[in-house]
Amino acid sequence: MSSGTYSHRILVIDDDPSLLYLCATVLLKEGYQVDYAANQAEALPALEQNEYSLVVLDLNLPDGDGLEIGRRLQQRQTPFLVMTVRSQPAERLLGFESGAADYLIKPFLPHELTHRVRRILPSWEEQARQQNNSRVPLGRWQFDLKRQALVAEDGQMTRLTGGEFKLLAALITADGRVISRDRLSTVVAREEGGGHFRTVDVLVSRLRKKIEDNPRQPEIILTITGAGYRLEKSTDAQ
Amino acid sequence: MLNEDLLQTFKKCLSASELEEFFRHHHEMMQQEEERIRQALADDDLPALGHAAHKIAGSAGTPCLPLVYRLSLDLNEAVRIGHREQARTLAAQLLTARPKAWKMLVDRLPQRNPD
Repeated sequence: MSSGTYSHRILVIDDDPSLLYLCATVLLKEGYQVDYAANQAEALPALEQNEYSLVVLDLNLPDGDGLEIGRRLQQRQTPFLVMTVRSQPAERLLGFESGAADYLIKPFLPHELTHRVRRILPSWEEQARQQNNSRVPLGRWQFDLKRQALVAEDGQMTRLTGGEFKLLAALITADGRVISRDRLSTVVAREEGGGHFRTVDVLVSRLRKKIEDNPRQPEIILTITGAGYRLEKSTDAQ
Repeated sequence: MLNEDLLQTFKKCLSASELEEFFRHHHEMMQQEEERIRQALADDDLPALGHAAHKIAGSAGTPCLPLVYRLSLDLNEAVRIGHREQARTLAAQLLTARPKAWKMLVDRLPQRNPD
């Protein structure tokens, strides 16, 4: 039986290779995309670079406190499932206090994992539908206002600096109208040592490298000579 | 020594090669934790003993080995309440029981090459 979809990407964090292998194998069979990390050092970059529908998290990591990851996930509104050993009831409590959606007592059977994942993801999907209002289509990207990031079709997340975010948000808000460099320099004045036209140009150049297929021939952020910049309207609200 | 029902459950969820790979990971981890237990016994390091017991108790394949599972939970508890001698006894029992249980498990996985 396959109940997942490849749009759901799950990160499993545990230092037990057999558990990682088991989780990855059964979740893949259910149709989910699965990444795994053996410790905090592997997990944090994965969380920075990707957007996950769910994180399965062991609280006892060899290089740090899994609860810290849990707090970050709660801030990002990413649901997570805590794994604890039967003899550690206090861990379960800590997990819930840190915002865990549910917990699994280790060791667990493969079905237990898939049942709990299925139970969490539908309720998360409802939340995600509400959050979609904070996302704006931008070419092959989604501009995520809450996370200040660009999300690719495969879930890959590209973080934006404060200046990049403000500049892009201003262009989107303009709804296809031209915004002068002067106006944009005011928008980004507090970021990136901003306040100069040159800063705006640098930010536009960096954004183009992130979102354009060919930054030298931009199709999303257009230069209007002598006037400023505008966003190609056909890309911002499909 | 072996929980046949649970082993069947794993066999239903995993193909023969997946089962072999899963238990290979499990066995390697058990060997590492056994080494930690030996070292902890030599150093009389109770927290390290508890940590290794915790890892063994929580490992994904351990429920198939009920005696190992029970000993690891008991060892973890003995460490938690500070019963040093009981912990040392349980650790020694665990070091004996786990390889025996592994041999029995390997017999149920005929495609595996025991080491």
